[in-house]
Amino acid sequence: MSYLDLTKGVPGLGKATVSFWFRIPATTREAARADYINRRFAPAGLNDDLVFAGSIPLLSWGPSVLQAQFTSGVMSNSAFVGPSYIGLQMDDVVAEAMLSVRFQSTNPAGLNDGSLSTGNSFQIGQQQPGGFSYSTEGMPAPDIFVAADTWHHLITSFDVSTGTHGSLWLAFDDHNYNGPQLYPSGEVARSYVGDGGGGSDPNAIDCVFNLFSGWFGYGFDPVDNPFGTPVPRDYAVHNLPVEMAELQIFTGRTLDTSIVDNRRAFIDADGKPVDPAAAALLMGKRPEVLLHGSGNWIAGRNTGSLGLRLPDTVIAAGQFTPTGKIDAYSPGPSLHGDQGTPGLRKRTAA
Amino acid sequence: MRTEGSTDKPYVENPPEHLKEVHWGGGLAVHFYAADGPPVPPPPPVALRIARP
Repeated sequence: MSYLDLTKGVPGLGKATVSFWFRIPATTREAARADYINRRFAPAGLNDDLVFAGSIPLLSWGPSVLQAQFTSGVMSNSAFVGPSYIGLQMDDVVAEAMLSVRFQSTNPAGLNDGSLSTGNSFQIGQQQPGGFSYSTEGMPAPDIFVAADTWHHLITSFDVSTGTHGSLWLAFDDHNYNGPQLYPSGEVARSYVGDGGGGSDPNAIDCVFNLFSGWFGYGFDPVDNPFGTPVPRDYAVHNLPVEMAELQIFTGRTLDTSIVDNRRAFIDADGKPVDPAAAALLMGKRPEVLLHGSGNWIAGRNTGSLGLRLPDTVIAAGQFTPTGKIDAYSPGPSLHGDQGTPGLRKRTAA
Repeated sequence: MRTEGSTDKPYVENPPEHLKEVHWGGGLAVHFYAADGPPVPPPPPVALRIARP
């Protein structure tokens, strides 16, 4: 297994702009599908492990929490569910993985008022899989599907730092998604527009349990540590093979991804990476996390402001701890360039 | 809707002179390997706090 762990996390990750390139092998997609089937369809018991069930994490942070389900007032089952993450989700039906983001909370999500559950069941804690699956309007095929064995680029910006109201921006493969297209499949939060919750802000999200069960005031409660890519050490067992490149995290700043010029600071018009200096200029500061170049990825060398004080003072607490074998990979990231031969990795010098 | 980066720092009006396309002939990307070995239990969850209205 291999991963980069930043145990102390990325402070302030409740409000951030994140950009990175990724791809998943088809074998990873199928492994996630098998994992989903194995764990989601197993008989429910107590303290089940549903952490990252069917998920393909790319960035992960924060704690696992316990979800408990009650029937007629009696706890019928409970499960550990996953932390916050940006990644993909598989199930037993879809052909391709679905883009997914979950903002986990240490708050219990609240008590279902019946509109989100059936019978006399309700839930406390967080649902998994779930959180946000970015999706297009119109169920039942609303999700953004992510083709395997090809590079993809994601910019997501969010503010879930406080309260019950948040904001979310998303550009996937240089296409902006908002409004009804941000329709979550989980039960942590919902977009205003997507589920008719009210309001007209196409980037607004809200804690669903606050929205539907007004007497529960639980809100976003992001915990930013530990942090890892694809996972921190705590979740190493759930790691799957993926390719990653060009990670930039700016905390405390949001970015409107509907503005093409904003996206051009991360991805050019030809679908290729841009020098990270462009994003730093746009955002008005260096990123807290910057993993730029295979060599820095392999060493876990964070050259963002959390890990490097310019010009050359390394901040140990902001450096990733690499575990396992991490290989340089080619072809490099691009939307329309050479994508290589599926299943055949070309290794390059870091 | 308030965002940073869209108006305060107009990138296209003032691009950095050193801005250039990244050359990725080798050296930007990495491959991570899967977990192996026996499964380990998940870390202890945070305490579940249940509040009633």
